[in-house]
Amino acid sequence: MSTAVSVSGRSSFVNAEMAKAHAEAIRSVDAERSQPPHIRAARARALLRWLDKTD
Amino acid sequence: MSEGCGSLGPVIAQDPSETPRLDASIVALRVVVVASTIVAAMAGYLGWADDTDPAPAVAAAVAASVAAVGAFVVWYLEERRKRTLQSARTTVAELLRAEKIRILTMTNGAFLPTLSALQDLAAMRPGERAVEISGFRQAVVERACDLVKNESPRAAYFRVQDLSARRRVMSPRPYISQRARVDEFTSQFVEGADDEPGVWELIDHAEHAILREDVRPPGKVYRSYISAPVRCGGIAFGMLTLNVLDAGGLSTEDRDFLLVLARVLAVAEALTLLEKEREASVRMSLIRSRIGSEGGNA
Repeated sequence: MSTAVSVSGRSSFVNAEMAKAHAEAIRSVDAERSQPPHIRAARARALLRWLDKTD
Repeated sequence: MSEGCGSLGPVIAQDPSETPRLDASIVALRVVVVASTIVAAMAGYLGWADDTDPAPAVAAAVAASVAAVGAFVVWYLEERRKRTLQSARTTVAELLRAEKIRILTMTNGAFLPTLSALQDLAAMRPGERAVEISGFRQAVVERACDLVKNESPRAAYFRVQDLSARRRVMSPRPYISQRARVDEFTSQFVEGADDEPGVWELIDHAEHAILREDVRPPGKVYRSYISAPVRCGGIAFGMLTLNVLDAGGLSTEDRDFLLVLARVLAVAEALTLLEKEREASVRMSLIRSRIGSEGGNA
């Protein structure tokens, strides 16, 4: 069985600022992916700790 | 304005729930392979010990063939299992990336600019606010339309035309935004009419936005919608609403994002209200709630 998942779900924006923010968000997230593994691991740990504290 | 999706394309995920079935098949086939190998070895030994009887040699050949085919199938299923798990991991990573992009887009493209515009509005003189509020309303509706994870959304701000009227009327025009849609919004809601009594309850009393999925309103093509009250200081200014064509096309995050925009819009509306209008609106709100309360006690 296969499941189709659209990860973006859009090709356009009505509001220009939303479109600009979307383009910047893609750049920012991809830049974060290029961080060294230990930095990404530290951020992941921080996020998980934050989740635990909000339970 | 159009913005491409970059490297974000559709991700086809194989169902990870398939892996337990594959695991069970792999274990069963390994047992078959081992058993076949043992049988082949024993039959081969018997055939070697007694070369006058061809049966053990034939049995050894058959068992060896079964073991070989079984080993090949085990290898194939293991490869398939690896591909399934890899695909599931890729899907999770892409979804995580999409969520991050969405949060950043909402924060920097919708919430911060809307709050900045609200700050500007607050710093203006009353006459200037009355001019600027129209653009503010339209920007909120456009952002509402952009915030949902859907290809065919339509959003509108149904605004009460006269806040001090005994029988209020809400109309979406001119504050409408949509993508890839040709159907029309309800032209207006009239208080006391039988068409949609829930909308007045929503704008007067609801604390949160409502999300309805898989609806089939008569004469309409949308299947999911969200409506959020635009109310501040007891004055109901209207309703921010959006809908999409598919059932399940909206999420609880969409609902909460819309409520944030509706509350910011309500603050802007309250800031823009002139003192006379405010007094008349509050007076009418009190009358309305007293009538409602008496009606409820009857």
